[in-house]
Amino acid sequence: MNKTYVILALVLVLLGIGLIFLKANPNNTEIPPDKLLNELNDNTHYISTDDLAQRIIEGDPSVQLIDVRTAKDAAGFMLPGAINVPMGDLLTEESKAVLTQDGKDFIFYCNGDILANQAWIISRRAGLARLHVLKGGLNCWVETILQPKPPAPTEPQEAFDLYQARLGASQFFTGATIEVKKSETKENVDLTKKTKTRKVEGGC
Amino acid sequence: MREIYKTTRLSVASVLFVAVIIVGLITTRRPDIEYALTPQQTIEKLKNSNNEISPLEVAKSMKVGGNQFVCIDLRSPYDFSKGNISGSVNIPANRILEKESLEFFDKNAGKTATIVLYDENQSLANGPWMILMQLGYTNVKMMQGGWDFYAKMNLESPDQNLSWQVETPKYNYAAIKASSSQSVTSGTPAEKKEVVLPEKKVKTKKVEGGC
Repeated sequence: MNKTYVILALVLVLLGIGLIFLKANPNNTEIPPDKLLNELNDNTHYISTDDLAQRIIEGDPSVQLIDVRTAKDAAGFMLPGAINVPMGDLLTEESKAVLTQDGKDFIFYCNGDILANQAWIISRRAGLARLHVLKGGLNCWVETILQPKPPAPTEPQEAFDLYQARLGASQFFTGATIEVKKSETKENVDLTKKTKTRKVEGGC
Repeated sequence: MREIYKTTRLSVASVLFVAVIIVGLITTRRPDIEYALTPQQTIEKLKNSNNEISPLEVAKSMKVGGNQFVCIDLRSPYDFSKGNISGSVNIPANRILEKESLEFFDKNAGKTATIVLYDENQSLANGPWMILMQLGYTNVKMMQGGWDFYAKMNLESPDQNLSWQVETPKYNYAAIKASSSQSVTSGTPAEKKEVVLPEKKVKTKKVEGGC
């Protein structure tokens, strides 16, 4: 036997023994605080009520709503297709199974957006992906989708288009019937034709 | 001859191997900032303690000049310069984990004064607050409503509805859904903007001239 082989083998064995005493780090999939803060300051994790309404109406199969309110509140009213995961149950195996489904966008919502944001932070810290927060929560949902307010006549065309879309969404989510009355809001502008009085002259 | 050549190669390889491992051990360092609370502890803390402070409470304390709160403004320096809670310190939200900021929090952590975080609204202050809370700071709270509400607040006749509490349900959602057909039609009818289409001018005269 060569002496070098023995030394080499001994070194490897020693290193292997050293590995046993290394402290286990169970949270190695965790997102560190600074990275989490950056993602939070981006504010890209918010989804607007209009976007959500459109995705539900289109039947987007990747939408998975998560209601983070208490079970009692959720029993009274939930958005269509939502699953109730109260804050306290966020880390249970059952919730993990819900939040790790493939090909889903998880959208947390609550009455406002504080609780949902907190649920987002805890789940994101645990390394879960494709998480979103409904901006404004259910209060905003009622104000913009279920009971939209008509825009002022002076507002730009986009506001009217958005209002029309919201009325449609409201009809979809509540089953309401909407009477659309024609009403003149703007005076018709007369476009009178200008008649040319002079003969066409010239050329070169 | 061949045997000697093989041995040197082997020893060089083994030395390199050990060197790489040692270098790896030395250069690996633990992250600078670590969570002090586990996720489970964080959830417990969210459930148990009162983490929010109403803007009214802060305003009252500021009026009598008490040093009960140390206010941290998380907005940009520009917004901060336009108006802020008197006596507040400006630490923009993206800089709360920088060394000087953490030193500031450490300095104030042991004191009785509560550190109050505020931003434009409460949602924006929530993230930084959650981070600091998970880092183990216990006397940090966030202000409800944020600067939006604080700036508008009238101390003589404060808002009785506590409208800065965004988590309170403002509507009875189930009732709205049930009585939906009334709720929508009772509003003003859909107003459509008249689209004015400019008429196309028809040329009546023959094209004349040209070179």
